[in-house]
Amino acid sequence: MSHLDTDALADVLAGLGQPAHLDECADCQTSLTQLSTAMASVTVALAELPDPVVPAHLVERLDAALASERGEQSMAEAPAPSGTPALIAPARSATVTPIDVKSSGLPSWTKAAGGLAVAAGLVVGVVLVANKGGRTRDATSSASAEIARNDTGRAYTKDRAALSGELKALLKGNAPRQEAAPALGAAPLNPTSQQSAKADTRALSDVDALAPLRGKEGLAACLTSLSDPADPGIPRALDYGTFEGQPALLVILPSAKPNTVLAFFVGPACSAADSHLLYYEKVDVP
Amino acid sequence: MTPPDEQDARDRALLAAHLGGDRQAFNDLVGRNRQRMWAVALRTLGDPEEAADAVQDACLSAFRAADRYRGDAKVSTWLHRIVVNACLDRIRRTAVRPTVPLPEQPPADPRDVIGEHETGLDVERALAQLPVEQRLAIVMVDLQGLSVEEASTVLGVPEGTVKSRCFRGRARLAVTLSFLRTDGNPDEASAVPPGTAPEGGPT
Repeated sequence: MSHLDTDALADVLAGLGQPAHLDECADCQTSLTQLSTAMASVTVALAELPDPVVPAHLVERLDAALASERGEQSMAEAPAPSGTPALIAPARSATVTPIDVKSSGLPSWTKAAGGLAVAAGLVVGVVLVANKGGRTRDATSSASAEIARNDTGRAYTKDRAALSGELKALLKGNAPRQEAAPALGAAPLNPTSQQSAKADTRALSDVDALAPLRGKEGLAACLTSLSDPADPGIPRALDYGTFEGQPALLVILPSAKPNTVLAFFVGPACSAADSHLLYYEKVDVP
Repeated sequence: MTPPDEQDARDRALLAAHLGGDRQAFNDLVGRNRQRMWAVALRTLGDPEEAADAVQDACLSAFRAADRYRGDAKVSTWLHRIVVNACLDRIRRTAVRPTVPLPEQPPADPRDVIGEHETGLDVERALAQLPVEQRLAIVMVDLQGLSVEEASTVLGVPEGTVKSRCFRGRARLAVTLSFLRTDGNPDEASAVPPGTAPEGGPT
């Protein structure tokens, strides 16, 4: 006669039946008692496991994903834009930089939103690319686009009201360069200002962090990750600064809705394969 | 501590506000349940990156399906189920093998862990070795504190199945953690004197 194995004894303890063998076998009865005691120890050990802490990056990632999802749903209801690229007049505090951008298919930033398929009406157009030859090994078709590039060093946050005002100023060319964000090689700040010195240190480190996105190739690759070949468009403006304390490039894209723009904050590692989206918001700029 | 009914009432209010157009409500709902969702995903998948992906997938699924919440279960139970499904999807699609993340620092005194089979790391490792069905049952009941009835709803299996999986899982953990020896030599803590019949029988 075979004795009850651990699973069978566990089922007995769970109240899921009692095989007749148990009534007749002292060894199995002993095993049952031992198992009951051991499982009590397991219950105690499980109860003592500490709760895992939610990582900070996950919190931000979830916020960004939900914001992106809301944006997709809003845009799916809006009519598709004409896709005609617009020339951007140079802003007072901006430099106009010709950018060569290649199309690379579906927006990879959607990966940040859980790998969603891009809706046909989704307005995420960034750069118009004349991909006449299709995607072949030798296809390198590209088009130049002029984009107003700012370098304010501004510390952006999720405050929508503040963001609206900041983007409006940026688009009008009135965004002041942050006192603590000198361009490389510029004159040093007044060293007597402790606050500006601290911000200077922060801004300089931020500038360094965003260096990969300052060159033509790096910036073009990053903007490619935000492009949608089905819905071409170009950014209305860029700005180098921070978002919620992290170095970030702000990319302002046109929206189909009047007086509205799409604000994308991407991290320094933004590339053609991954935008490293930090945050997305649809902003009213009346 | 907020009574469970009051917690669910708040969750339901947030869900209703979200469906009513409140853009912040769903974020607040996620914020209230994020810890539990993360714990379920991490304990089920073992890998922090996979768990983060699963939680994100779950949040987006819940966001899109918010209008289909029937209200017959607690909102937290509904979210639990979505996270579990997200985890199972990842396991099926990516053949995720649960791993236990290494501790960031070694113990201050190795003697604290040598011979100590109750350390959290040992328990986590043992948990990761369980079949996924048993692991999920234990995560729901023993770690998340769900009742067998609630766990049954989350896992989509009968209550008897939940109980069986919990008990069998605990039994396996008992062996893995050496709370129960299977080599014929009874563990000192659980030894029964020979000739002594157990009192009361099994519970």
